[in-house]
Amino acid sequence: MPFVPRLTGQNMALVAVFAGLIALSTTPPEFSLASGVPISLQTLAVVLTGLVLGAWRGFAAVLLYVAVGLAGAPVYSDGASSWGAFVGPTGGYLWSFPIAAFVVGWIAERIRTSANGIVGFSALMGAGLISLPIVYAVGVPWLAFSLDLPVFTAGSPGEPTAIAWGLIPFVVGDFLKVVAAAAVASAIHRSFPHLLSATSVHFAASALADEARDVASAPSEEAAAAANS
Amino acid sequence: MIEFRGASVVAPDSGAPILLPTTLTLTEQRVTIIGANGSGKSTLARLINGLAVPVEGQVLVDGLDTRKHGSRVRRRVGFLFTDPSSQLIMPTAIEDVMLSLRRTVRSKDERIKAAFQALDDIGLGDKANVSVNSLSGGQRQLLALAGVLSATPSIVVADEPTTLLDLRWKAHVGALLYALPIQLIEVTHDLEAAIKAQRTLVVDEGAVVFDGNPVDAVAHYRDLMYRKSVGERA
Amino acid sequence: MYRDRRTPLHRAPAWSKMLGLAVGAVVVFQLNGPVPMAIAATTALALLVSTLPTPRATLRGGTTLAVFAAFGGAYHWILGDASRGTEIALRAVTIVLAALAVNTSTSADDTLNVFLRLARPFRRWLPTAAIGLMFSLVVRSIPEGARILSQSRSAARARGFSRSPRAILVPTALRTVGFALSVGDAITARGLADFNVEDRR
Repeated sequence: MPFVPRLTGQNMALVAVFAGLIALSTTPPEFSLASGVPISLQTLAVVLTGLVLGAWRGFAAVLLYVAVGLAGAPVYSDGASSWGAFVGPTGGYLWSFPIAAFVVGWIAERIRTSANGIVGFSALMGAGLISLPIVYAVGVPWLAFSLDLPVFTAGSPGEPTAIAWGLIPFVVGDFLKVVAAAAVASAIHRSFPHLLSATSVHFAASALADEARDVASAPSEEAAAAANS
Repeated sequence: MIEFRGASVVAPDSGAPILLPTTLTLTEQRVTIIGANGSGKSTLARLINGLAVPVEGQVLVDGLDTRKHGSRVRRRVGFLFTDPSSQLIMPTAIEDVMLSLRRTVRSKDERIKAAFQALDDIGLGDKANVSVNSLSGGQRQLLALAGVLSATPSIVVADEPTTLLDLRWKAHVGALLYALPIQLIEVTHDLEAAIKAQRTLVVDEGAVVFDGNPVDAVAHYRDLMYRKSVGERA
Repeated sequence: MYRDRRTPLHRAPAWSKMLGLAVGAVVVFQLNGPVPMAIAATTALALLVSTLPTPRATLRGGTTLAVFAAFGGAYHWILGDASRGTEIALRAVTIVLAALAVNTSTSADDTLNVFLRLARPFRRWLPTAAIGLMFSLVVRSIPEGARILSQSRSAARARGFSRSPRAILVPTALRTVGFALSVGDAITARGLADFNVEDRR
């Protein structure tokens, strides 16, 4: 049974901020493939959430993101109607996200994330890759059912199937996103070694506050001028 | 009154000492704490409101043990952090102050009134319904202070409250803190502000190495830092 | 997407609309044939229009999903089954329109209250105050995260790394976690995480 984190200020903040991160990941694409096709970073954010926060907090963060979106904040892909995304043909993916975060987080908790370098990264990537079958296993049948498409093989070749629409176009991108999520999660766990254990993360916060101070004080002249106008 | 009785703090994984066993009693109205980054001064401050608890020894605030009665301690001790933005939780200024008032004022209407009053008192009355995002860093820190004060604490601990602010806001927030009628424990890098106190502690490598007159404390600190930097170059 | 209006749907309790959407989504799969589906779609459209939505937000909210609906229908049209294609497309459109109607007629507060009510049985482990706090914090974190991201971008550009996603994502993520931990400290310091303590003054 994955450890159930206590309802501390730290845990509440982590869950909420990561829910916000997932919301942020759906804003107009910041990155695009060389061919100009925009990549939504939503799956990256969801996998990252699971890898960093573990099973229960990761689950809670994704659930919170979905709930905030349903309450009307425009945080679903392309500013889509939240209830529409939830109940419509692409709803399956959204339903799968909390489960995927939970499973990914559960595996991440079992990895010794304090290990530096390649070992930690590969293990995190393995954990992250588990998310893909989960997301597709819920998303694709849902799509097939809503639009009455065959899931696997069509009657004759060349006809669209749910797999062709809901899985194949995304596989490569999603794989890359998992790699990226694992890389970022690995960096996070190196800087904050206690995130996935039951002890509270105390001192790293002040270390990062120091760093934030250095970053903030560099362009502080014009930032201060702008902020105080 | 704040008492440290042999309180020490260690890093949870390695057991490395962050703060060596410290025994002191702080009764003065203004106490400042100075030291290099990573010296343990922030940890010392966080022991006072129970944000950090000692691994050995005790910290007592008005007789309450921070380990056993953290919640009651936090009703008496307000804490002002370095980063203005991370202290504000609600979307608008007034809502954030109202959040701080939840424990002391039951009725929502009275809370609204009290929150307006708190914002007025601190000079943010016209920003009550403004989104927190549009406030400057100095205004955010002012808002955070308004929230802290609205909960009527008997002690305020401020951890480098002006480090991230520009000169004008440093002076403004500094003056407000200086004028507080309650006990103020301020961790600061601003040595000019540090001497405006009745007592100053110098913290270095986890220990309080000087405890007494502010002017002497600052001189001791300067000397210490100089010796360290020379030592590094040698 | 929500606008404060006095339409019948606006006045209906939030839970009833959500339940209605869920039930409607199921019922709509029991209907067969393009004609019943057209009636359903028209009904959904009428519901949506009755909430007096803003045209721009509605379009944005519904476009992607409508595209899906069209594609879904197209599959069957290509196969020669025009009536099935129309039925499928109309069904997807019906669901989207009904969902939009829920969005435009239900305020954030009302939705939040439904969730709080759903969470009541768990209040021993998850107090109401905690949920409300976390909701506000999510909204608060989004612009903060955006600010951190843009600062990391500028910093990466200044160091010549503007092409590398990793040079941008990693500092952003680290500082966001740092931000979260600082907020956590502030929450604790303000006594907002002191739940299990009785009020004894």
